[in-house]
Amino acid sequence: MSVENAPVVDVDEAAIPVEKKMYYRFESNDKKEFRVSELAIQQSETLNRLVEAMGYTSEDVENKPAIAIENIDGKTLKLVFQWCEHHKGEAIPVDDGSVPKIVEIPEFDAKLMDIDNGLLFKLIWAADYLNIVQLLNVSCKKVANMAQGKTPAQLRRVYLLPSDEEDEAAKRAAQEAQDPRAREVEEEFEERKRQGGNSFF
Amino acid sequence: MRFRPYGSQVGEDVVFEFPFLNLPEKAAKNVTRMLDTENMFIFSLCSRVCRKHVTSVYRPALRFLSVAIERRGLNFKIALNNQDIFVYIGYNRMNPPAPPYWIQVKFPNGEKHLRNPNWSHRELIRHFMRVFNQELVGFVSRESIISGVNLNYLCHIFKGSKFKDFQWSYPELTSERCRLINSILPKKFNPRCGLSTEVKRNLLIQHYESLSLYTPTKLNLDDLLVTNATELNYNGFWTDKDWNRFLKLWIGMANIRVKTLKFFYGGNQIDDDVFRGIPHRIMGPEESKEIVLDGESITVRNVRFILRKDGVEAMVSVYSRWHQFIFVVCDDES
Repeated sequence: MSVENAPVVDVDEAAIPVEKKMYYRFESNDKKEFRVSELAIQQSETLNRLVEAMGYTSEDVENKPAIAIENIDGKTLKLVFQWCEHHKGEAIPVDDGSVPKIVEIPEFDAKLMDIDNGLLFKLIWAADYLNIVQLLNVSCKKVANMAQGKTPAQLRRVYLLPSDEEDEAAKRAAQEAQDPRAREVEEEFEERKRQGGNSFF
Repeated sequence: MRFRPYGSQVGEDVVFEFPFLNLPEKAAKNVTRMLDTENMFIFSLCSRVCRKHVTSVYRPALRFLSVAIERRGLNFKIALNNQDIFVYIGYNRMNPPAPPYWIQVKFPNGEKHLRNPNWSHRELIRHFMRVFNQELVGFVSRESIISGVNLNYLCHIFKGSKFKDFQWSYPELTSERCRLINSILPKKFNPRCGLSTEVKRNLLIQHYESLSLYTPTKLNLDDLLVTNATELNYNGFWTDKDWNRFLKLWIGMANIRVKTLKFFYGGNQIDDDVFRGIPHRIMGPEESKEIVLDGESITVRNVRFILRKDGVEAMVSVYSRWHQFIFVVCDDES
């Protein structure tokens, strides 16, 4: 039967039990509190599991202290929850592993991410920590867009990529810092080599 | 100090520094996966760490990755399914040779001169192989190519690089130039030029998966008996008597290394003289056999089977479409 031909049934809307929307309270590491709808929370796998495990009732939400998210600051968390509220009820995308990964940035997300790189960086960490797949996708897409039309030298500066030489120097420095004796041994070895000795030991 | 990226306008919402390497692993992978081929290629040239990021996610659909060895440099063609990228890396004649300063890359939408991250030719060659996850196809095809090039240097930069195919068309392949081929040791080698007896013997004793020889190079029974290649192709003609002698020797366990022979043959089916004095089994007139040659499945008819002393069977037939005499040792895989 087609949709057009389906019989129309009058429904008394008042008779339908309306489930009361539940808003959870979260607190950032700088003690800023946010109220987020249950549906919006479903965008975050981490938070969704957390609230499910807590099993709060409406009264619990009001009476108990806000759920603390200790490694995200208020400014970032505000963006995260704004995004979740706007995209609540949307399906969570499944990664098919394709390369290049095609992601479009919707207008709302583009405006939301019109922020400085420091905050974008924190937003990506938050999206990763809270496991918000689509927010991670769009924020990563914004970072990927920074590479458009750049040369390796420009890309190294945009993405703050150290050169191979800098990498090696940092590695050496880290090794030396970890084991100060290593440098002495190396110098001794070099000295013996200069003196023509074949065996170090 | 902050900088304005190249090409951006004053007042434009520009992108400044972003600490890519401090991103969580999943996000860094996501970003890398979102780069298109051109940007992925450029990103891979930033540093070895970036190359690792690219190779961990990038599985390109590639037709082939070829390199033409030329007098002034190496010409790479990266033939992807949807686009081709051309890379030119010059070499200098300094002694010792220094790494190239620039890498010239031609993408479908324009050419770019990219600064080499101070990698040697050797590392750049390996870089392309790693990023595009493909063995090389090599070409030497012009007179100007090899003359004047430091062969020792070429041997050094290509040594250990995996070549699945190498074609040498021109100039002459001398014993000296053979050193390059021997240091590369491609799986398949096609010297399309005439070869001296010395060079021919030199090539025949190498363990190629496939070796193709072309006239005017002469190939006789003695040559075939010393061949170490698994597959030997030859566009010259052998008489029925030559084949008869070879098959008899093969039955007696001579040159058991050769698994496939494809030689030019004039007729559409094998002459009985080829099997004179050789016990063999003939496939029925309605029967046919599917075999895979050069990656192509072909159907052969009138197949004859011979049995070696140790019980190994070989099939002999003519593939009329290519006018080829085909000898294939049957093992479990065939």
